[in-house]
Amino acid sequence: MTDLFRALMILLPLTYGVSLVLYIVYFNVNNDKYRRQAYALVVAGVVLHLMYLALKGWYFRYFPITNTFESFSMIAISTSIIYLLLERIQKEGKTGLFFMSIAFIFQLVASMFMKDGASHNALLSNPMFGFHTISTLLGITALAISALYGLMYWMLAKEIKAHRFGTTYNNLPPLETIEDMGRTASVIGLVLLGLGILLGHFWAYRMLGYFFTIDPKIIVADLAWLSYAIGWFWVIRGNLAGLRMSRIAFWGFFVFFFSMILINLLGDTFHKFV
Amino acid sequence: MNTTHIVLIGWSHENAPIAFRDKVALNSEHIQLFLYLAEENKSIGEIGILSTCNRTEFYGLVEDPSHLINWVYDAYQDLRGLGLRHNETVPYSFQDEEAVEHLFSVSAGMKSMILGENQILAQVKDALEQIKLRENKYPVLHHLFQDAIRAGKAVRSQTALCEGAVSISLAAVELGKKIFRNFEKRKILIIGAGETAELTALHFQNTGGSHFMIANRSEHSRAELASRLNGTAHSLEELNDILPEADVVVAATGSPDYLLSMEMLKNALKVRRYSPILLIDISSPRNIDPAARKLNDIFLYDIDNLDEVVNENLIKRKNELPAAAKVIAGILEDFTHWWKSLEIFPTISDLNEYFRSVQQQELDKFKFKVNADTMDVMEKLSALIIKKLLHYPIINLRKMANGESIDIHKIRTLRDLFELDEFQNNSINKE
Repeated sequence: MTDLFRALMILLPLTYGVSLVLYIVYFNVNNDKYRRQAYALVVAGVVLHLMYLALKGWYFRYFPITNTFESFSMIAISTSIIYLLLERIQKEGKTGLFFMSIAFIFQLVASMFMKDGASHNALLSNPMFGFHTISTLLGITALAISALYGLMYWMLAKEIKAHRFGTTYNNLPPLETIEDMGRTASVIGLVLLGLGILLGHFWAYRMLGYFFTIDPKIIVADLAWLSYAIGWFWVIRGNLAGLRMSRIAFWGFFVFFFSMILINLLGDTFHKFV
Repeated sequence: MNTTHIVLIGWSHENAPIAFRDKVALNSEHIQLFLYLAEENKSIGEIGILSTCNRTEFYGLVEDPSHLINWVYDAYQDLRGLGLRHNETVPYSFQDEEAVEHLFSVSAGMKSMILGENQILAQVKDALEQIKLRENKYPVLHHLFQDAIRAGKAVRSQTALCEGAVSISLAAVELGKKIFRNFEKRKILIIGAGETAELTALHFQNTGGSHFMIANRSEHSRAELASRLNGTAHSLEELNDILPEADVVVAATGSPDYLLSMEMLKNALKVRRYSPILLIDISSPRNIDPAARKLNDIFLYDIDNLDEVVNENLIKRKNELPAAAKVIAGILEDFTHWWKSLEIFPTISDLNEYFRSVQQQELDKFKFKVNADTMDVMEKLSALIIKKLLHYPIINLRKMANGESIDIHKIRTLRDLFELDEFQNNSINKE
């Protein structure tokens, strides 16, 4: 079985890498053939990746997010899944190279340094933890992707305003499409992160006997999600669009991400499994 | 043996002033007449005519290029009453590969006045349709024009020669496409009802725009344009009210004042919840306050900015010329190969016939000297020897025709060595 894991660890960055190359070609050469091939490869990569995670979880009896490199691999698959969803919904593949480069780099590093069957926290053997983690990670990835779309919008709008017609102008999709992709990513992110947080609370209730605890990481995560939700309610209710919306998506995630990093670095939290 | 040439003579913006081009331009009726006239001329094997507003070209299959040029002069004299023979504007003339390459480049838009324009491809298709209508079918020019269309399409799909707007109004539409995915649900406000305003509106309409609002001082003009575009007509006083609805605004009036002020645009953005607006100001003097550029969700382009876009696109198109030439070279090679292969099969047939005639002549000498059985043996033996002798020459000629490079000089030498042209002429005379 470990031979199969090793083979998959080689195959995964290879699949993501080739799809990245195809997305780069598609970005520069407007031929839909490359987009279709790249998309098919990402689908294949995600299927292989899911197979790998399921087999590994079954074989080692834990949810495979016990170390940094397993987390990297999870980031790679989350990015690929969210991006696939967005490309399918919006039928636009010009931004594929940005997200597949993230997936490729994370998976490459993970494949290079991954060690199977490391010791792990007993809590990670609980299947509910898997659902909580997957949902949270997919949610955060979707919000990160939404922030990147915000940045892309910002960059392209700047180019159009400044009458600069470089690579960004020529190859990125229209502002409206970027905005829609970012908006869709945000909605996916909000729902999945919300679900992940909720599952986390239920899990804590079942395992530890309380639904909520005064833990800085939990408080920040809950507050961040709540602010995001309120922000989006305001955006959707006000039908807010354009640069303002892209900035909200970008800075919203920026604040959320750095507050989580700060809490992880400075705060004392029970929420540590790696 | 095929000793004909593909010859081109023509006039275009490269060698003739517009007044002359107007004189020699031919509409489809003229072309029909010219083609009928050419059919009566024995020295012209095939003929094709390409006539556009900037180009009139005659492609002929003739033994001597002077046949075509003289016929063209005579035809203009007879059908249009134009004496071109002594005119200072001399047509350009190309032969064989150069003529073919020229047509392919024309079809690709490489020789067009506006580099990479698309209309020419349709005009080459029209010329092919005219050729198809001829009773004689003109197989060589049919193949040539078909390949020209192939070249035009290949250049358009494999290079960026025809990409990017090269007119002010198209550049405006292209900019819009960078902001909005499409114009189907977008409201387009046209301020002005003149020619420029209408042309730009039509470009938006051609790319899916269907919700037009026309604002103009003259009630009659705005109502007319609105009815043509299936839109709504508004007075200039209504601008403040309708501006927030507009995703794209095109201003093309002769007004000396700003019709859209900073305040109006600020207000419109607020009402729109900051959904972006593309403003195209192609008026001179400008009709939109240039300070509006500072507003975040306003994308304002004036005539100078659009001119920049056009110039940049033209430079990009020029940079694509080497890539386009490469695409054309491939198709030119295919055509040349086919064209040369036309000479191989008659040569194989002539060689066979020549050897059989020599065999027959020599056998005739022994007709009454040997008995029938011996004659039969001699016939079989000589036929076998001829078959053996011709085996490799014919195999090699067929190889040439089947994809290996065709060396026309080798075929010529072969024909000269056996005097096949003379042999063929004698055979025709005997018949």
